[in-house]
Amino acid sequence: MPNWTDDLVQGTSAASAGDDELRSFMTQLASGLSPSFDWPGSGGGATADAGKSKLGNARCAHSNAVTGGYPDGYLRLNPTRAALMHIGTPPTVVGHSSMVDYNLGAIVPGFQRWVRQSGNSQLYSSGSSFGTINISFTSTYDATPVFLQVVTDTGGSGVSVGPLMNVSSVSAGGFSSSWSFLGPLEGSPRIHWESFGSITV
Amino acid sequence: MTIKWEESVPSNASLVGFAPTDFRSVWTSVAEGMAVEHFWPGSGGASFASAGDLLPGASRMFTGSRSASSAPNSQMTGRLFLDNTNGRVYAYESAGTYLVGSMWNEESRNPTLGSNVFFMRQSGALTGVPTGSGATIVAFPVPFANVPTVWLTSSSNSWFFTLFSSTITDFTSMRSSFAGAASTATMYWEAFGTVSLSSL
Repeated sequence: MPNWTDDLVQGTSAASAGDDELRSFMTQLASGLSPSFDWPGSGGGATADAGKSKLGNARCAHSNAVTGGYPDGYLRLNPTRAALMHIGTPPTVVGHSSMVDYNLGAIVPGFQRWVRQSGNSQLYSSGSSFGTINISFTSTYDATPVFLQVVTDTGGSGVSVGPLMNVSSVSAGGFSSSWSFLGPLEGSPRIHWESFGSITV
Repeated sequence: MTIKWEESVPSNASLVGFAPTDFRSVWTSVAEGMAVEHFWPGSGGASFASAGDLLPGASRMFTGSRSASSAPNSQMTGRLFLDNTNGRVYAYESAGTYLVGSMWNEESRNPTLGSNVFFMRQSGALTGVPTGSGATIVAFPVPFANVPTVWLTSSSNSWFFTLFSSTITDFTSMRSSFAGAASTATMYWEAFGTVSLSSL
């Protein structure tokens, strides 16, 4: 915008200058808006597109704060945490430079997403030193998850070794694990599991 | 929205008597055009108090191939760029560029994400684990908001590591070496859970 003078029109201005001043006002306004919005005339846009946002006019807030400053819907780039955050209630991390990015082609962009699920369960309720446990995923995958890992804890004070276990079978809906104590049956160990696969949005 | 916008009107030859009409026309056109993406009073239909605020969803990211992303400068701080070839979103700062969104992101569904937290994965390697049996406590670099899931892996097939207990600040592992084990082992660990926004 080459020129913008708030007090261009004075009380003593000649009425005959009114047309020049109004044209100048329109030109300056169009020039000032056009970097971020379509605007006709000196803005170079079409009258039908007047007021529309141009690509790239989005600009988020920029500070190290986690909360406050703006109401719901605004975004903040927090350079300390390398995060894009939703400002408002509640504050939410919507993007992060340290996030896990799976550059895998197994999903259909826009329709599927990578989903990691995890959980834990009591391994047994009977007095047997071996057995099988069936786990259902919280959300069913589109297909057999591409990754699954299981582990057990010791399950009790004074117990130094937890039971061994495997993955007997796995499907889109869940998995089965067989477990066996190495030594005497003791403690109340739990199975901890984590799975990873695609789910259609 | 099509507005009336003629920068040649009024002309030097226009009658002074047309001035009120011309001025009102410009005011109306400005309000109608601004109201497309902003709250704007008058013909824009919004209140004076909200005049100039962006309407929800009014702003647009740069959109293009990754190669169209420019080196950041001071005028780009806070601007967003969508790489529509690879499905990633970047935010610019004068000193750098941040990856802030990706269609390849992992979504964690369990445990349930609460307010003011996000998921974090922490990991480490504890070296020098001796032979025999006993407990080892490892503190998490960043405290979790909820008790995380912990995974343990031994560097040697002569040691067996099992999780004994975990809290939001640390976990305790039990080790047991088999007969014939010598020297030391390394215990690799990984913890996954939620962390408070304010803990960073």
